[in-house]
Amino acid sequence: MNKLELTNQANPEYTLKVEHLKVVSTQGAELVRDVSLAIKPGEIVGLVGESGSGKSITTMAIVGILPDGISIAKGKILFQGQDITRISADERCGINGNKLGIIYQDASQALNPLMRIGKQIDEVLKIHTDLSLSERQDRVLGTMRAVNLPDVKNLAKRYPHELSGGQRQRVLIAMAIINNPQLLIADEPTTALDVTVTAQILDLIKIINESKQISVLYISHDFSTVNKLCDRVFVLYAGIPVEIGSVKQVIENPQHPYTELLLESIPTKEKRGQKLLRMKGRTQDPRGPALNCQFADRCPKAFGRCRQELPPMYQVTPGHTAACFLLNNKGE
Amino acid sequence: MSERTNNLLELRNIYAGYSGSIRKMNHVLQDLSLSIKNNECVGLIGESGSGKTTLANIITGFLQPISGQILFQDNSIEKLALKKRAKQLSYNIQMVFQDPYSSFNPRKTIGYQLMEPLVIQKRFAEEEIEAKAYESLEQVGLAPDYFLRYPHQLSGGQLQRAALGCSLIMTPRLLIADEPVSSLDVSVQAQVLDLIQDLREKLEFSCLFISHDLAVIYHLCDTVAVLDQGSIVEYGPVEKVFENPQNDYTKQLIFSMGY
Repeated sequence: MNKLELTNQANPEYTLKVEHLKVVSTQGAELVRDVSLAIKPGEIVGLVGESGSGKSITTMAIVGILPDGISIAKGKILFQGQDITRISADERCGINGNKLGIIYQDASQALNPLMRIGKQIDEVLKIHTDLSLSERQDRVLGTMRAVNLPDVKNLAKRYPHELSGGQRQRVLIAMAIINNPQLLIADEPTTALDVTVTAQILDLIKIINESKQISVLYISHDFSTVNKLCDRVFVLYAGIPVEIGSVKQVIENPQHPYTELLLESIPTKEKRGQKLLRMKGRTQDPRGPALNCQFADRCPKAFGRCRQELPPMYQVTPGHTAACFLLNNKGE
Repeated sequence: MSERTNNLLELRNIYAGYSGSIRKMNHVLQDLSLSIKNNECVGLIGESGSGKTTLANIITGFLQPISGQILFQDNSIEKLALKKRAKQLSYNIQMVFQDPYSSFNPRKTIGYQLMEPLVIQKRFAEEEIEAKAYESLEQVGLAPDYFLRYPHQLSGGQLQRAALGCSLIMTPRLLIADEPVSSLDVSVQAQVLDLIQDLREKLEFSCLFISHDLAVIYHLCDTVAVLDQGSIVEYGPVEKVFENPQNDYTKQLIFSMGY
C-alpha cells in the first residue's frame, strides 16, 4: 500500500497512460497491435471498436485479467505513474477494486448469485479498508443511495436475481466506486439494458465523474452513447487506434474512412429507408504483424500505398489525429 | 363472413398471460388490439417486461390467448387448436429470434437446417428442396459453400442471415423479427438491416419488427406501436409518432434516444 501512496504524485498529469501496448496469444496472433492512450484526471475517454478490434483485450490488460495463453508482449501501462504490467498479485489486489473500479458488461454474471447484495458490496470494503463493521455498513448504504438504488436497507438483504437489470448494474457501479477510485473502467455497461435505463446509467456515470473527479474509460461499440458521455474518443480497428480526437471532432468530422463508414452505418433520421452500409467484407480474424493499413481491403478509398505500408498518425487539427495516408496527401 | 380488408393480421382485444398458479393468472397483455396490413412493416417498441415477446408468441401460436380474436387474412384463427394452427400458419408466419447462436442446432449443417422446414412440410420433392435451400442462401447473401458449414463456423451476422434464410424459405406472408439486430456490431447490424429491407422489396412480406432501438425502428418501419404494461399506448405512422408523440411513455422513450 505504502509504495502506491508514494508513487501517487509521481505523474499527476495522467491517471492512466498506456504506451505502445501489444498483446499476443501463444499462437502468435496479435490481438492488440500498438495501442497508446492517456486519460487525464476527471476525463471520460471512450474506446470504440467492433468485435475483434481489441478493445476488451486492452481493458483486460489494464485490469490484469488476461486469459491464459494471452500476454503482454510489449509496452507499458502506467497507472498513476506506476507501471502495472508486471506487478505481483498482491500489488494488483491493492489496485483493483481500490484505486481502479471496474463495471462489467453483464451485471447478472458479475454478481455472485448466492450472496446478498449488501454483503457483496461490503466485501470490497472488507478487503481494502480497516473500517469497523458499522462504519462499513453506513458506507455501503450511503453508496447504494448515491447510485439511486431505492429502499436500500431492504435491497441490501436481497439476492441478485431479485433485482432488475438496471438495479444490478447500479449495484456493480456502487461496488466500483465505493472506495473512491481514481479510474473507473466501464466495459459496455449498457448493452443489455433498455433505452430509458441506459440513459439513466449514463447520467449516473457522468454524475460520478463530475462530483468525484473520477476518470472514466468507457468501452463501447455504440457511438450514440459515446457521444452523450465522453470527452475524447479512440476508434480502434484490428488492434490499432485509427482515429483519436474529441468526441465533437471525431463524430462531426471523421477523417479515417473506417470511422466515417462506421458512423454512416448507424440509422438516423436523415437516412431513413436508405442503404446503411458501404463497407465491404468483415473484420479479419487477428493474424501476425500489421504490415499495411489493416482497413485497406475494405476501404473504398484505398490506393497503392495503403497496401504496402502501415500509415502513421497524421494530425488533422490540434488534438485530432487519424492513421490514414489520405491525410498525408492533403497536407502536401 | 366479413368482407375482405387490407389487413394481413388483426388482433382484437387480446388478453393473455402465463399462469402462476391455477387461480392466479398474470395478465401480460391486456385488451390489446393491433393490425398489420399487407406489405407493411410494423415496429413494436417497449421495455423489458412490457409484453413484446408474449405478443409474438400469441401471433405465432406458441401461446393461446385467454380471450380475444386473432384474424389472419380476415379468418378467425384463435379457436384452432395450437397444433393445427401452427401447421396451417407455418407457411404464412415465420419468426427470427434475437440470438442466432441459440436458434440453430450446433450439430447440423446450415444447409440441413435450411431444408428442415420444407422436409417437414412434405410439399416438395427432395431435389427441389435442395435447390430452394441454395436459392435461399443466395438471397441472404451467403456463398453456396456455407451449405455444408456448421453454425459455429459462422459469425454472428452471417448466422443471423442464415436464420433469415430459414424463415424466408417458407415464403411467409408475415415475418416476426424479435430484436434481430440487438446482439450485433454496428456495421453488421447495418448489413442485416439492409438485407431485411432488400428482401422486403423483393419478396413482399409484412413484418412485425420488435426492438427497443428507436433508431432501427425509425429506419425500417412504416408504422410503430408502443407497448407499455401490456397494452398499446401509441400507434401510428413512424414519422408522426416520432415528431409528435402523444403518450408520456413514448415521449420519454423518444427523449432518451435524443430524437
